[in-house]
Amino acid sequence: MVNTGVQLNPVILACLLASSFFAPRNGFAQAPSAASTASSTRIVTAAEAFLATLSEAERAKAVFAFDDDKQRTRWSNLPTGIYHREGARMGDLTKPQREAAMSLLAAVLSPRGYQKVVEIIAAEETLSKDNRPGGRLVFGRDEFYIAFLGKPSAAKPWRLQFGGHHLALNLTFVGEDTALTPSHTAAQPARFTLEGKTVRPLGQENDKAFMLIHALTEAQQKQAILGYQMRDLALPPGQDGKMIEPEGIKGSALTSPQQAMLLDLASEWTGIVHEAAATAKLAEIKKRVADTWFAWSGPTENGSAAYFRIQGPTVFIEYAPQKMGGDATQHIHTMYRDPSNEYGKKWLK
Amino acid sequence: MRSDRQARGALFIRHRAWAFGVALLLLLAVSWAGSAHRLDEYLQATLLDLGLDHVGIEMDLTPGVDVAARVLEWIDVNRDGAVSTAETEAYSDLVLRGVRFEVDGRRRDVKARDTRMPQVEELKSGVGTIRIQAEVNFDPIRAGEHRFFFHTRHLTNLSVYLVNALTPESPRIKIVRQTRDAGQTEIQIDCVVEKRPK
Repeated sequence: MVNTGVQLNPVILACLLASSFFAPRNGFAQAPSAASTASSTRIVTAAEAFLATLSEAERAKAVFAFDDDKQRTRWSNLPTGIYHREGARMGDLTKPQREAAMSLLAAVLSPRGYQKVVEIIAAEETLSKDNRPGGRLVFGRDEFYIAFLGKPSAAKPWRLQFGGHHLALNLTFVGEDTALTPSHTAAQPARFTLEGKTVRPLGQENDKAFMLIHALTEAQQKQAILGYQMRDLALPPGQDGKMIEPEGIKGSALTSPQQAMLLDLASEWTGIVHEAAATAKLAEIKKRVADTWFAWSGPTENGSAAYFRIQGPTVFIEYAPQKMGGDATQHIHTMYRDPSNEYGKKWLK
Repeated sequence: MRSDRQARGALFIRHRAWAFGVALLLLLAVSWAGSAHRLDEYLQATLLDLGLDHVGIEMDLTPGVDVAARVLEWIDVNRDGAVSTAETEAYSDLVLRGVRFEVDGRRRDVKARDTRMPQVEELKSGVGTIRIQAEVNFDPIRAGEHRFFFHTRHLTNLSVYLVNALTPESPRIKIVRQTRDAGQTEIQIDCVVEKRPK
């Protein structure tokens, strides 16, 4: 049975419907949205509104101390049954509570970030038919959790976690600043049909990467393409605080248009968060684009399974097709890290 | 002109209809079903942390569902369905015996520091990761060019590999080149150690 536990916020849903929710992303990105004007005050208001819908007992499950490191690092790519999350489980919430939770997500994310999250959850929902009575692995919309570390505040730092199988958003808010790292996005299936339209939660990431590798000269490709297979993420969930040596082609060896394509590709991750934070983050990466590397492993024909990595002083992004049960292009894992600011650490010193 | 309440009601019905439609379409239109767990390969992911007088080795070993039983034969040697501390240590030793580590062409001993073994059920599900932490110790290397070499040959018939050098903690160590075989069973790391600042 398909579980429709997570309902979309009516206002957001109206926007999504009005702009054809599953229309091509560019069209949607141009649609006006309340999320594009997100600010710390607005986010705090949305967070408080959600918390106000919870009972005392529910709040006790959803809210942790800001310095609770165990909860801070309690996130994973794995499904329920083999990974235990804590927080408010979406499936346990009432409809108004779920709507308030989704309104909070809409406030902290950009329209396209929100869309990506909804599409990842929709993909996840297709796996819920694999749920078996008494089975160990549990999939579906109900199995997403929302948790707070600290009290939502425009002045004091706090954190918001939202995640489940194939999704882990870790947001740290410090005044007007927001960090989205480390975060994990993934999709399985990575391509499916809904209402007669093809949905690809990570489709832009894939297509922009193939455009970039094709934009490189033969000599540049030789530098970018790693001479070995990458069968998974080098730094998957559970590897916080570590950083590998960069490889591939360095940004300084790219032309300006190629650098712009690299930044545009990175924006698929940096742009998940609300506009103000996304703009600041991309500007930070742009400043060091000459020191930012692009690495590739696998075929260069779009439609094939290829791994890529963007790595610079303030960004680390990996995209890794997973060979699990067949077509690796249908099961993608990605990681978004910031070696200089994991969990907003540089703002918390 | 409809009142706000009527408009909200219509919107509510539209949302419910949409949600129902989504549920129905997800049942009918999506024909693809996949696996959330690793299947027919044993992923061995290694991170190497280079120091001036030691190298930390972290190996994350994740057997897929279809090969878990074969891997477990090497771990649960008494076949009692559980993995004891002794069996965990024995397996860690077995894996590390398959590792060759060289510093400047000279083979060095690899010593286990810690091993975390997941539940047998997790291993069988293709989501359990065995984490082996090991260390190689040697006399401090001097300023100049140096070469580290890592190779593993544990269960090569079942496995796929990842091996990466972490950014060294010591600012004196500059990695200049990493050379791997196509399957990542081995890596050669060329680096330059800078002189100690005066």
